[in-house]
Amino acid sequence: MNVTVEQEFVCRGHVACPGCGAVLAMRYVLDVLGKKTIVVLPACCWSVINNRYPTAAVKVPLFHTAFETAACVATGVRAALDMKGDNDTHVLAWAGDGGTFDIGLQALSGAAERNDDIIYVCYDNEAYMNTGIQRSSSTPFGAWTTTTPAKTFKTKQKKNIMDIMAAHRIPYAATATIAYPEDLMNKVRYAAGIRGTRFLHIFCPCPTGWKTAPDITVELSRNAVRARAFPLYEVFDGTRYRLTHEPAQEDRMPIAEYIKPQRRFAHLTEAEIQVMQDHADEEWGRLMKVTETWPAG
Amino acid sequence: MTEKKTQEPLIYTTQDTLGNKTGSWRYMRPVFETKAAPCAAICPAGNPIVSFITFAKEGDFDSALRMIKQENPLPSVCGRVCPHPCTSACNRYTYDGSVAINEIERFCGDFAEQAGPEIPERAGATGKKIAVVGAGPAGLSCAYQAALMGHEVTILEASNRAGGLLTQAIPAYRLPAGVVRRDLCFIDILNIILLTGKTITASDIEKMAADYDAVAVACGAHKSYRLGIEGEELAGVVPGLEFLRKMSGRAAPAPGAKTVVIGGGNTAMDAARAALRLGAEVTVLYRRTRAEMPAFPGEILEAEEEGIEFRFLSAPVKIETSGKTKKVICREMELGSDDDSGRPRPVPVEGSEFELDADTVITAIGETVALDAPFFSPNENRRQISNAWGRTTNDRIFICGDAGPNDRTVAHAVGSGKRAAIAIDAQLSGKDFEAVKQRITLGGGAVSAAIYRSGAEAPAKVVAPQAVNFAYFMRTARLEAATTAPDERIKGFGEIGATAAEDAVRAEAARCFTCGVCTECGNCFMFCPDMSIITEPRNGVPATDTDYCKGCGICARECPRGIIEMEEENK
Repeated sequence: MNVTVEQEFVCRGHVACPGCGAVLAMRYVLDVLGKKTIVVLPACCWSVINNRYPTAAVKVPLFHTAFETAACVATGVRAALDMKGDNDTHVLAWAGDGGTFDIGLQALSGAAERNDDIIYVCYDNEAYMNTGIQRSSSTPFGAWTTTTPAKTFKTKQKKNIMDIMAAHRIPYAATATIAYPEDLMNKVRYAAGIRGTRFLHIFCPCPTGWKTAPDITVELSRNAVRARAFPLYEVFDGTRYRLTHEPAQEDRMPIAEYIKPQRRFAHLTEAEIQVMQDHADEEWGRLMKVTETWPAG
Repeated sequence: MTEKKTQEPLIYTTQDTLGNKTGSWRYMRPVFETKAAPCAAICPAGNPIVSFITFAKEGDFDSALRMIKQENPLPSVCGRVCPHPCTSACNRYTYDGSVAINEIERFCGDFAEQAGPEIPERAGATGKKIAVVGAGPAGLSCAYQAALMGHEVTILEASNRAGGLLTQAIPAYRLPAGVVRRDLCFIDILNIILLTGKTITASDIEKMAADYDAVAVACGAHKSYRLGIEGEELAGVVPGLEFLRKMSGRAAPAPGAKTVVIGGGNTAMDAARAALRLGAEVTVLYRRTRAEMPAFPGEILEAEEEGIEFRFLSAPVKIETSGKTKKVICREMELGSDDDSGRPRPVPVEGSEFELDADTVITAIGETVALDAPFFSPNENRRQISNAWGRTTNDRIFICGDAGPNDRTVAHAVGSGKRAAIAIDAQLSGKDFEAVKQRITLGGGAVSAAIYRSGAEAPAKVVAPQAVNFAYFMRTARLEAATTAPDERIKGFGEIGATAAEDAVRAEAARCFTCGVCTECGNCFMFCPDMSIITEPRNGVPATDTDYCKGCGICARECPRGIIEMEEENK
């Protein structure tokens, strides 16, 4: 491991489930951003993880807000700071996939269109985990959730939020995941060094919602990259692409192997798994094409 | 990132969550423990493999050599002739090829040319006198360890020099004399008294037991088994060891145009390849098939490459003279049911006789111990003696090396010599032998003299390949040992291959997973979602903050080298 967490801004005693990936994401991001950060938090797992008032696990100022408002509240906090003449405090909107892909999309699109000076992190655990594992538009094809039970599992593919953000031509959008902390922290560092709307899509496995053992959270995160279900890349100005980690040929694995320990996919037939594989191959092929056609410097 | 001095807020509206002791959620607990690497646990000589490779990785070969010399005085020798079971046990084996541990050891041993011998410091004199009978690898290892423990050691050797089989049997193309000489420098440095030309009998040993505090018998196994066939006593029919011993003398034997070697062990291979280099055309007769040959696989392969002919499933029936040369009458065999050794028994095929012409016939079907002593019978109580680390029915007499019930390789000899030295020291200092044995045996296998001397405890568990997280190791090519082309090497007795170059050795050392030993990589700390890893090492490993650890087990899963295991809570 070439990186470490120098300063802990997440306090022990938080109430995340054992093996929670979202805690690691917060821990890595805040270590890079430092104490001059204000977190804007819509309804999501983290509003629970942070624990009840008057305690808080996050050791920087944190603003709890409504589900659909992460981006616009962040915009407001930014405006207030700017009026005070404070332009070196980071404003970090921290929303889950439900609050980003679905409910908060309109506010996010607005902020991105205005290129408001905020860092928006979507920590993606692929369903509304906090409220009881309901399907979101980030839930992948085939997954069981409480609103898409195994018999009628989700038949729509996961929405491509990165394409949506890239279409806004924001200065920086990147994917990251907890198994690659160095890559993740480098991306946060880059984002912290520029202005405008910066979007980070951080993939965070969820033992509770994915029906997996808590000890394989990091392994699943790594396997998602190795199976090319979640590629690690960045998009500059919405137009120039760079792959930051390409799994070595011998490290690659089929989607079937990646989903095997996840009981949310336990009901799938081989043909259905093949649908997932074909989708992953197609998305990867498309990503390869755009990175070749529009490479970042 | 630069940070301006920030103003503290006037009031804190929230408190931290430290009051919330999430450790109470836990039903599994991570246990951090230094473990034995499989290579080290299996090493017959008990080399501290992970430690010396860690130094080699850094390019600190002085320290690497010093680590090896704690356990094994003969790294240059073992790096060449040991069949390196460590590499088959290596957890990297099925991933992208085991670490070439023997090549690293060989380089470290040869590094003594630059670094000096790096012999560990000798303990204060104990005033105890120990005699060692035989200056082969077992006797030398026993003498070395006993001297390091502060005892006064005298070696009595029948021949005119130290080394035993190293100098008298293993041919120079495998082990040049200079290499042995380099490793044997400890005899003078540790003031070990070496008396040569002393042939010792069983009754001498019993007498010596009265004069010395302990006697270690390391007389080897020199008596060649006889074929028990007609014509065995003819001139030109020689036992393998005798042939090899002559090789190491001033006048090399002249095997003539055709040599038949009978047997399939290492002595047979050495004799066959030596005869080939002396100009003979060599045929090896072995009564089973290649798969059952007891010789090291590498030796068989090299013999084949050099053009030695193998006649498998063939055994001699009779040797006849025919003029100046001889005729070996042979019979073909077939494999029957398994015998006591677990190998299929060769059964003669009726009417399958054939003849081979030979100027010299070398018999190499095994050797046994020449010494016949009342306190020790090589065929009885083998297991007991082995478990007893050379202790015999006489509490002042110990046995090690080929004379005892040990596997017959140099590395096993080194290991058994060390065990005997420790058994002697434990006895002389009144330590509880069983407790000592328990304390210093790594993962139930190898024995560490350094741990014996320091009073520490050897790791009891061995890292299994399933405990290694391969995701943290890039696949890299294995160091391929340098070799010499067969037609080049049969021209003489020059050493085959060469010691690898320093940068190649460092790169190979960097492939080591350091199984079972914490390298402070930080994975457990980095991936803990509950910030519950106490990184300040205690006993060489991190620990868990049990107040907050929820027992998710990510640390155990992400530890690259198998140090962390999950255990049920309150068990």
